[in-house]
Amino acid sequence: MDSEKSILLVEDNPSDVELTRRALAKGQLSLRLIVAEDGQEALDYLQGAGAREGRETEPLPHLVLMDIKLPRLDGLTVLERLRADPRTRRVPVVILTSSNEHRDVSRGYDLGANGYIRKPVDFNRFASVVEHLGLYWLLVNEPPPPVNLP
Amino acid sequence: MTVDLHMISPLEPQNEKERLAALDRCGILDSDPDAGFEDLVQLTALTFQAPIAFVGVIARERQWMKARIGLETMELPRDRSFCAHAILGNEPLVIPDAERDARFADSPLVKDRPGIRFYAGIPLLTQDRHALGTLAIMDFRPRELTRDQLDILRLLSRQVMARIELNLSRVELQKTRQGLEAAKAELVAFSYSVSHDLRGPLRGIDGWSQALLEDCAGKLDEQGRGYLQRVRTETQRMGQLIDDLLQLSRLNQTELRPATVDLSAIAAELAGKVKEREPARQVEFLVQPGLVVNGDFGLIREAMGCLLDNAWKFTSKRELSVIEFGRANTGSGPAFFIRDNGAGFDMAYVGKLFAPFQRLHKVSEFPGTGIGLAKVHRVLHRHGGRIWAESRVGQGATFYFTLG
Repeated sequence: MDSEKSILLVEDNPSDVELTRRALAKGQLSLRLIVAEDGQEALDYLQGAGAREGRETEPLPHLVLMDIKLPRLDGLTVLERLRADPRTRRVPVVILTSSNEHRDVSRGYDLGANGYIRKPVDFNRFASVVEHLGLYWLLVNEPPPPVNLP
Repeated sequence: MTVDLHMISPLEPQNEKERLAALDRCGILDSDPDAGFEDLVQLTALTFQAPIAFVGVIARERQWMKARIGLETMELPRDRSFCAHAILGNEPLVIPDAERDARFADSPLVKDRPGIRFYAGIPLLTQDRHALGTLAIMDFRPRELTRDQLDILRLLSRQVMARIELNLSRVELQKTRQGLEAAKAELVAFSYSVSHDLRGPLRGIDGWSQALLEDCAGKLDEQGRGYLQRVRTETQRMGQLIDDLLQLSRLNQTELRPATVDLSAIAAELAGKVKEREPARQVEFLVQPGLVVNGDFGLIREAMGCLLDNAWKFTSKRELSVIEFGRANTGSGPAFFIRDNGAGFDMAYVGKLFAPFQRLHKVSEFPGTGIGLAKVHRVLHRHGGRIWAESRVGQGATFYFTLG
């Protein structure tokens, strides 16, 4: 059983994926970065469905970092479906996106996001943000218990 | 079924196609009843003591009446219509006795019991001289009209036409409004797209330049590292510009929510915040209390914030910054003002003061993208207010503003 902590990054921009990977590597946290390039892939992975049918979904990632603008299913729809599924209802989801339009932020929180972060253009700040996210969610935060326990 | 062999069907006027187009533009055909037209028709009927009066328009195949007295139906076929004849000319059509007029003698309207004997109709003419229809009166007995009575009918028809033109303006206004709404929606979508799409690649440029600096430092000389640093600086500046543009465009979009806004309280609060940010700086804030206006709290607070931030920024080189907020009587009437004892600016450039991204100082002297005053200007403009400034280089600046 792989007990290494993992982060699922849902992001379709390859440059942003690599930058995030670099930023996490700098933080020297021991973790596994899983990448889904669109909303459907993310759902399939987390629910063990579709293209990932039968995958062992436990343990869920410690954190899902999700962009809003994604091909096929957009991030907010994915979030809605994750929260509707009892198995994934509790998984921490932080929206990491370019937009800070009020309606996106409102909708994100209404749908049950655990946090909302606007990606800075400045890479040093971006790296710092990602590092802090990793530290907090993987080391400080108490992860949700698996759903079959009361 | 009898066929009207003897009623001579009305011809079509010249430019019938253009006339129908003009009728279409007016939006009157098949429209809802309108009290204004009903009143005019009633006035006409009473003035002439006529049992029948109406405002009718001639469409392709029928006469349709916007308002009528004394007639049951609101439509009749064009080839039975007296008005269809009236629109062939620009002058009133008066038929003193329809039984004696070859054009109408065999018309069912005339032969019915009771039958129409008298008709007088004035063409309703558009600006382009197209006859839409008529204002008309009819009676069951033969009649004549005096010159004065014709004039009265003419004057009444002008009132009817004025009403039609008013409606036309209203229709056009509605179209313009819809066009504006569509344009506004497009602009919102565009801003949203900018918010997402432009920042991504910028982050890539900045990020990979940084990666080069970090991972390839050994292969780069001082010059190379310097260039990369400039790439990063410019990229971040562009990010800031995009954000400023977005902020500026958002100021136009949000709905104004009027409320009573305490400007003095806002000034005091913002002053407190700014002092907290840089506690080492010596500053005297003078805020006149009790200054209240009507306006949108959020937008006004943002505008005050920009003005105070500017005052704070441009007094940063003074040992003691003095920033005042109050109300004064100026040459242009009473206005609020924010005054500082800072660097000031050259009045020769005052025309550029409120344009977006126009700066009157070098970036090396004072930072900024030049969006602050543009934002203030927009907020005040939305409130129907104004802003103007007075300054002398090295002797501070005063910004006066009103809110509607």
